[in-house]
Amino acid sequence: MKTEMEKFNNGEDNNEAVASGDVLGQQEFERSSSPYRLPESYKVGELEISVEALRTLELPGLEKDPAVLALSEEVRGELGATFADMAETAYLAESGEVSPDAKKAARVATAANALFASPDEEESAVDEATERQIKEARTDSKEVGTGARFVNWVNTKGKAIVRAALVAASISAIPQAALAGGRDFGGIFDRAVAQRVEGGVRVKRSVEHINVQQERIRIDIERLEREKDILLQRAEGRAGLGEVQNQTESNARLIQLDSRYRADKMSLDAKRMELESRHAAKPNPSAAEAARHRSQLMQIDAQEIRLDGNYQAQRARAEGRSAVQSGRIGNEMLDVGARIQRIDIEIQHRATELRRLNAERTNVLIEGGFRVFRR
Amino acid sequence: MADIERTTLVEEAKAIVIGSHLSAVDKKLLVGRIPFVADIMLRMFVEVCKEDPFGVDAIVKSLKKKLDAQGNLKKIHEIVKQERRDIEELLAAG
Repeated sequence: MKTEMEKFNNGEDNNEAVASGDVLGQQEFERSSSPYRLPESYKVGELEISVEALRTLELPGLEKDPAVLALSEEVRGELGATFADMAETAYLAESGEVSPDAKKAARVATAANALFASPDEEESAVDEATERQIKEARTDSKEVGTGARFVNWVNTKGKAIVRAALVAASISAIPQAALAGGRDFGGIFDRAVAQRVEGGVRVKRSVEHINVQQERIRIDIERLEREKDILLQRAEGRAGLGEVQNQTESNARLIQLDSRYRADKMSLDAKRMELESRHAAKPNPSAAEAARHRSQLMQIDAQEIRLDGNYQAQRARAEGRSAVQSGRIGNEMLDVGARIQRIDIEIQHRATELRRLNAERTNVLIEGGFRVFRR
Repeated sequence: MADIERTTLVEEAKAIVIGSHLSAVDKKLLVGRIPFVADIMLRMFVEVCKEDPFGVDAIVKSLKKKLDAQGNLKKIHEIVKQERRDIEELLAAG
């Protein structure tokens, strides 16, 4: 049983890319359960580009480019590694060996990389040379075969990408550039790049300013939200407690009133009974005595009527006082509601401002930033 | 002839973007770049979008991640590397 590697070495595998001669060498990468191979070099037409050349940026036509030569070792390594990773992703996007899910993910990433490396219309309008170069590259790319497509893309667009990377690399120079008055770039970058970097400083400052404004608004919103929460909690507590207190006081008042009323009533009944008993105890009451007895009973009746009247009035007053108190609590709640509504409106205003600043930042980045930062 | 094919491909890609549910900003982002994308890559874009209705969203998401890096090479490389790692995981899953 031959291993995959042996098959490959003997040319017995059915790799389309190898069969077409586009991929010149292969390197096997063992992954946990799915071994797959990645190319060591690519062929574009007559041109051979090794993965190593990609990693070190020794791309044909760029070896002596002053801009590339001016790159630091670190930037060159980072850029080359990015190219190589993009190339591998593109290779997988083209490969017939990989699972559908992996292929789809690779195609998405590769298409996004292609869009990322392409200027937009606005950018190209200020750089006709780049546009012409890309158009030429597009024409050349029609000759490309399986497995080498992305490298062709890297190669033909390489210069534009390296320029993009140069500006990207210059981002780290921005703070220093700003300190130096935004003018002295040590002759590393050409005038156009230097202008972009200066533009980058401006864009960066605009964005930072917007970020600060947004941070303040966020803090404001948080403060308002807290204020609203506190009001709500207090209102809930106060409404509940206030109403309970009101009810308790009201009930106590009524109970007291009722018991006093009943006591007074009983006292009158007792007096009445006593009068009746005394009168009944007299064997032969005179007419005057009988009249006085009636008069006394009538006084008690009058007292009872007054007592009833007072009781009804006091009860009505107590109930009314409780109702008024409930109303006052209700009014307080309405007032809290209005304050919360005002806070909500303020929060909405600030959220709108936040969205406006988001849009402004996007505009700043689109109008000035992408051109500056990306190319 | 080749120019006609190219124009058709560009128009097709633009139509996909315009007909998508992307935001106006995202559409602008793609439509402005499409004319400068190589045929092979543009064809890949069209195929991905046609195969999966959310393909265009995935592409925009990936593109925006890279643009959001604002030219920071380390960040861009990290994003590209992560995407490749994700693909490797899918490969490992078979």
